[in-house]
Formats: sequence, C-alpha cells, structure tokens
Amino acid sequence: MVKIISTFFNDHTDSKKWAFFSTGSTISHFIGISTLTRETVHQPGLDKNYLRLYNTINSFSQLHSNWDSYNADPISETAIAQAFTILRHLQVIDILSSGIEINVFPMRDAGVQFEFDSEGLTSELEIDKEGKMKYIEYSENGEVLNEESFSDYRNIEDVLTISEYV
Amino acid sequence: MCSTHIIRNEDYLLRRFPISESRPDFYKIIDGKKVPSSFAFKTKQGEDGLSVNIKVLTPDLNDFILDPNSFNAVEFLAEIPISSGYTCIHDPYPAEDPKNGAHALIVGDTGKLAKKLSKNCVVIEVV
Repeated sequence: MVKIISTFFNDHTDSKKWAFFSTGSTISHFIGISTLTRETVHQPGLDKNYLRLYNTINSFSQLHSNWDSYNADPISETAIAQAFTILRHLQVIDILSSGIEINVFPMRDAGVQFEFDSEGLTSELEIDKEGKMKYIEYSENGEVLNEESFSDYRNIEDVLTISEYV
Repeated sequence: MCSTHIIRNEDYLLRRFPISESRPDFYKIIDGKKVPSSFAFKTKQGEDGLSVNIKVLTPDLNDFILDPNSFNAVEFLAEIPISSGYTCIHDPYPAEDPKNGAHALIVGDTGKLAKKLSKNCVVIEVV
C-alpha cells in the first residue's frame, strides 16, 4: 500500500515548503514538491539527501539472512518504519541540509543505524529491531564518549547533539 | 590441523565486508575516503565475539572473500582491539566455518570497539 506523506521544510528563505513523498515497503518514488509560496526551491541538495536516505532505507527490505556472510539477520520492518520516521523528523528539524554528512546503514541484528559526521562530530543513532533507539557520541578516534537510550522519536531533539553543529 | 597462533599487536586481522551492487551502500565517503560503516564490526546479541581471520594464516585472500562481486575485505592491526582491552584468540575450524584454519575471535561484545575499527581499518580491493 502506498501512503502519501506530506511534510514541510524550510529552504532558508522565509517560506515553508511542502513536500510530498510516497511511503511503503516497496515503493520509494518521490512524488513531487509543491510550494505554498511563489519561490522555487533553490536547494536541490536538500531533496537529494532526503531521497538518497529514503531509498537506502527502503532497500534494506531486500537483505536476506546472512547478507554480510557472518549470519546477519534480515532487517526488521519495525526498524525500517522507525528509520523513515526519524528521516522525516531530521528533515523537519532542518538537519538534512545543515552540511552534516548523514548516512544510514543496516545493522547485523536486524536494526538500522544513522551515522553523522562533520568537523568535531562523530555520532550514531541506532534503531534496534523493536524500534528502540540509542544515540552514541564518539571521539575523533572512535572512542565512545556518551550514549543515551530513548524510545520516542519526538525526544530526538533533546538527545541529538548534532543540532549544536548546525 | 594447525597449531594455535598467539595473536600479537602486530598481527593483521581481516573481516569480510559486503559491497554494493544492486544492494545498499555499505560504505560512506568521508573527505574523499571510503570508510566502512561500523555495523560490520558490531557483534549480534548471543555471539561470543567478532569473527575475523588472521591474515598471516590466510593463504588466499580470494578464498576468504568468497565472492568478489558481493564482498571485499578490510584489515586492521590486532593492536586496536588488544589496546582497547579485548582478547583476540585463534579459533580455527569453528562450526560455522569448518574449513577455516585462520579463523579468530575478538572476544566479547564489540559494540564499543566498532567505531574505532571502522575508522582505522584499510579496505583491501581484491581484483
């Protein structure tokens, strides 16, 4: 089933733009962008980031058992759904266009992880197979500095220190 | 059968890493460099440790990689897990890989080590 999701983003003009995306386990088409104002969107990178991450998350459902040759599990639908929720929220809070490098990967135990990289920032947001989340900050060399678990995506702004780097 | 190898700081350890064809990307590009995601170095719940190969005991990298269209290899010094307090043991011919005499384990939950390995490993492009 395809569900149309609408969300808004700020393109750094003073206007809010509405974007429409389709969601579903097999369809990852970007439907189109409409705007409530006359300005056109001048930051195509924002949409590119959203679409790149969206399509990557969507592709995780193709991974079968042992996809890493070390007995990795297929990615859980709950984790994939939670990753889509997080992605939309990252867009709403204007992180995707902030210059922070954001990537998303499958995890060996059926979860999904976002990775955030920029100067002075290395962190990950793990989503386990049940949709529970953990945010981990690392030193430049990969030492764990801090980690915090949470279950409600709406708390993400309280947890993600990446907003300090925007 | 081979005798047990004592893993020392200067030993290189190998780990297979999936590569993207029609599948998702497993690398990220940071400052123009291919960096494997840390997921590859995190143990699953219930695993005794992270499976690796001891490079010096691995006679043929192509055999280790299994399928060059689906996997390549990364290598890192055993010093990285050892200096982080992990034990590395030679674990030849495990049940899940019964022909592999070079198999070894980084013992324990490697969640806290994974990022360090991803940042310090080297991708081996096998042709």
